[in-house]
Formats: sequence, structure tokens, C-alpha cells
Amino acid sequence: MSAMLEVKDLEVAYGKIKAVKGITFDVQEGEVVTLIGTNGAGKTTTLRTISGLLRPTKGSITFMGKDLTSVPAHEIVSLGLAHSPEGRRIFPKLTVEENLLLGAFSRKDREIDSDLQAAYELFPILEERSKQPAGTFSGGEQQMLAMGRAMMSRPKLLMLDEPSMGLSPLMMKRIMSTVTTLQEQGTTILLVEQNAQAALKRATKGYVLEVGNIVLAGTGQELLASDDVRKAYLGED
Amino acid sequence: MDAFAQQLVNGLTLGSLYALIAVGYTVVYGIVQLINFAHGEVFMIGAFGALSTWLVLFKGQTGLWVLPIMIIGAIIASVVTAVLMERIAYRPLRNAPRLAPLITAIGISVFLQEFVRLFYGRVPFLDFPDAKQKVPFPQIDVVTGKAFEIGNVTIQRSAVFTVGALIMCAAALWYFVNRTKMGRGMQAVSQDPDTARLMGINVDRVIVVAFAIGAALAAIAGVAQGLQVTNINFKMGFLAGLKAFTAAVLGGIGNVWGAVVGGVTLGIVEAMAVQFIPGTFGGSPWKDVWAFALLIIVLVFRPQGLLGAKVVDRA
Repeated sequence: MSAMLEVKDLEVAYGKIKAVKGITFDVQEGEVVTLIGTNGAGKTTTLRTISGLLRPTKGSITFMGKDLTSVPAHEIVSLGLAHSPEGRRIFPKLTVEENLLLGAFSRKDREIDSDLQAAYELFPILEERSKQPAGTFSGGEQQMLAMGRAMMSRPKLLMLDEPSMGLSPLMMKRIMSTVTTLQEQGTTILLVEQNAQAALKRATKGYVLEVGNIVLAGTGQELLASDDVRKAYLGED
Repeated sequence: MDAFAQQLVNGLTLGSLYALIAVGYTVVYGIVQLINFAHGEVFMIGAFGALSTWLVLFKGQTGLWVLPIMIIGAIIASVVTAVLMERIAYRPLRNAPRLAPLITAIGISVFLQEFVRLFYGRVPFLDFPDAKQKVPFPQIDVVTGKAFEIGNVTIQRSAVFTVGALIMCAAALWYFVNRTKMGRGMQAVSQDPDTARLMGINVDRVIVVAFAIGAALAAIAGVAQGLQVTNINFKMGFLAGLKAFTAAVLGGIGNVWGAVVGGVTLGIVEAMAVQFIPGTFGGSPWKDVWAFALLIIVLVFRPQGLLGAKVVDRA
């Protein structure tokens, strides 16, 4: 079986500075794959390149058999690949409902309303506040909105960039359990996290990035058990 | 009291004209953070587009029925100019330092003025008047002609047209921005272009739409100006554009309703200053001074403009 997403020898540079130095990984249908690593490891750069916001200097990105490196960013979401960006990036002056509907911008079918209801079921707080400007929300609520918005495109693959960043432990739990829910509902997930513990627990597969290179790969359980990972990312001796 | 009411009418008329043009500055700025200094020329070309339509199709006609077609001609001329301008001059500079598109805008402005001045009278196969001087603008039944008198207040027919046009355009614009998918996409692009692309929004297309909307409103303003002043000329876009830009900043640049409020406010302040500031500093020669003084005062005490919000931090 060929992979849903296949990244090969990917290199991305900002000017002369290489942020990603030739990484190769893949995501199979139904998996939760996580990229972990410290700040500046190249995780966000990788996701932004897959989404077409950045262009690689080398390498290939294949999504469901299609090469993405020459597809304009705004056409990628309709191929079934949604990206919930780092820092949530909700549209602050628009209402919750408008934000969610923007998630379905590239769709023309008649089931958008029922998907809106599905998003409200996933996060009931969004329905209560559907007419409020999203900028008035707390970080956790904004994260829910960002995930709901990404789901509105009916993605086959959902990329989540640091969904737990800056959240209270309680909210972090809530968000991470939603990741599991979405997986159970059949969404394949590529998860970027600094919270390695929470990410690896849920991951079928994980990759550890360090300054633009993949230094370790394995199943979530293997990585959780690895001494290197425990020392570097889980704060254990 | 009569003088006050009269100046209110005058100010509202002038302000509606500013507002129609100001929307174009603000919509484009809201999306690409570019001050399109050639927007005044888009307004001027709208007026010439209406005139050309009349000369080609209806020369000698004064019936009201020609007006909608003149307006369509004006809109086509302005929109084509604005879209070409964006495509040829601004898009290649999208990622250039901000000074580059600004200087380009000034260049386009001069180019368009000179183009109309030198070539309008020489269009092959068409008998257009020379545009080096003022060109008479067709006067149309119902919207020009004998003014209305209410008490001692005179209301020009063209003033009713101008204010009516602003009200209709503002309503249409409100509907577009808040109730259509493209309008929502436009708001998204103005708040966060990269994330808008992740939603599947084609940012290039949104930018073209922004230029086109601004141009359409400027075209209508061009017709209104022609009807009011009864003649048009290649330089008319300069001061009108500068005033409309002032109005946009006054209202809060980037905010569409700010442009409307700013335009109307500026028009009324100008009209009132002409009437009520006594002595040496009063009268119509000083109106521009007071208009720009108002701008300076607002910028000192409320730099974001009347309706502009302080920039919301992105979480």
C-alpha cells in the first residue's frame, strides 16, 4: 500500500539558512504520526511546506499520489489536506461561525451545514458562542475553533501544529483527547508537538527532529521507551 | 439657520463624493497594505469612460435612460484600468520593500493623467474632444437642471444623485462584505493572508476583487462629479484623490465604514469652515487648509482614525 503522505529528502531554506535538511517520512491512512522536537527543529517549517505556504529547495511531497510541490497553497485544502496552524491563527474579528464556514471555503456541496453541526457537537462551547468574535476567546477555545475550522474542509489528513501550546493542563487534555476522537472517526493525523509525552502516547508512529534532521524514528511506544527521548524531551535523567 | 442647513447639504454632497472614492483606498489597503495613489486617476478615468460612452452611443441625448449605461461604461473603464494596474504594476512588487509600490503608484498616476491628456482627443475613428482643457460633461434630464428649493435651502439635483449613489453603494458593499462567501474570504485575507490560503482562498483573486470594487465606486463618483461640475478634466483625480485618501485615514484606513464616515465628515467640515470661520481664515480659499488641519488633529489624538480599531494581536 502506498502512503497517504510521503515526504522525501525534503529541504527547505529561508534565504541561505536551511531550516529542514533533507527529511524523509510518511503517513499511512488511519495513522496518527507525530513530529516532535525542540523549538527551531523545523517542525512548523515542514508543515508549512506541505501546505504550500513555503516551497522546498529540494525533495518531494506526495499526497495521495499527487505531487504537492507545484500546487498553489489555496488548492491544497480541496485535495483533502487541512492544516491547523501554529498559534491557532483564527480570524479574530470574525465570529465563531464565520471562522468555521471559512474552513469550508473550498467546498461547494450541500452538507456544509451538517458539518457545522458536527463541529458544534465536537466542541459544544463553539455553538454557545457562535455569534461572538473569535478574538474574544481564550487560548483553549481558540484551539478548539482552529481544529473545528480545519475539520470543516472534511480532510482526509489533518495536520495539527502544536495544538496544546500555551494551554492549561486541563485544556491540553481536552484537546489531546479530541485528537483521539478524530482519529477514531477516521481522520488521519500528522501532529506536531513539543509536548512529546502526550503526542507519543497517541501516535502510531513518531519522528524526532533536531535542527532540521530526523534523528530518531519509531512507533510511539518505542520512542516513549527510548532513553534518548526520555532525556531530551521528557525531562528525565 | 438657513446657512447652516445649506452648508450641511453642500457638505453632505461633497462628503459623499469623497466617501465613494475613499472606499477604494481603504479596501485595497485593508488587503495588501498598499496606498494606491493612482486611485484618484481611476476616478478620473471613470468620468471619461462615462463621457466616451455617451459620445459613442448617445451623442445629443439627454434622457435619463442613458445614465445607467453611462455608469456601466464608467465602471468598465475604471475597473479595467484598476485591474490592469494591479496585474502589471503592483503584483510583481507584492514582496518588494514598501517604498517600491508607493513610488510605482505615483508613476502610474502621472502616466494615466498624461495618457488621457495627450491621447483622448486622438483616439482613432472616434471624434472625441481634445482633453488638454476641460471637457464638457453631458447634462442629463432629472439628475441635472433646475435645483430643488426647500425653504431657503438649494439642493442641486446632482447632489441628490451623489448622496443616493453613496447610500446604495454602501448598502451593496455591506451586503457583499458580510453576507457573501467572497466577502467573508476578503475579510479573512485582510486579517491573516497566510491562514486564508490554508482555507483555500485564492489571495490573488481577492486582491483583484478589492481593486475592482474600489474602481467601481470611484467610477460612480466620477459620473457624480461630472454631473455636479458639468465638466471634467485629466487633473480632476489629483485633489479628489488626495481628499478621499485623507477621508480614508480620517475614518481609519482599512475600515470600509471608516471611509464612508471619514468622507462625509470631511465634506461637512469643509463646507462648514467655508461658511462659519470668520475673517481672514474663512471663505472658500481656506477650505483645504481646514480639511487637512482636521486630519492632523485626528491623527494626533486618535492615530487609528475615527473608526479604526487598534490592531488586534494575533494569538
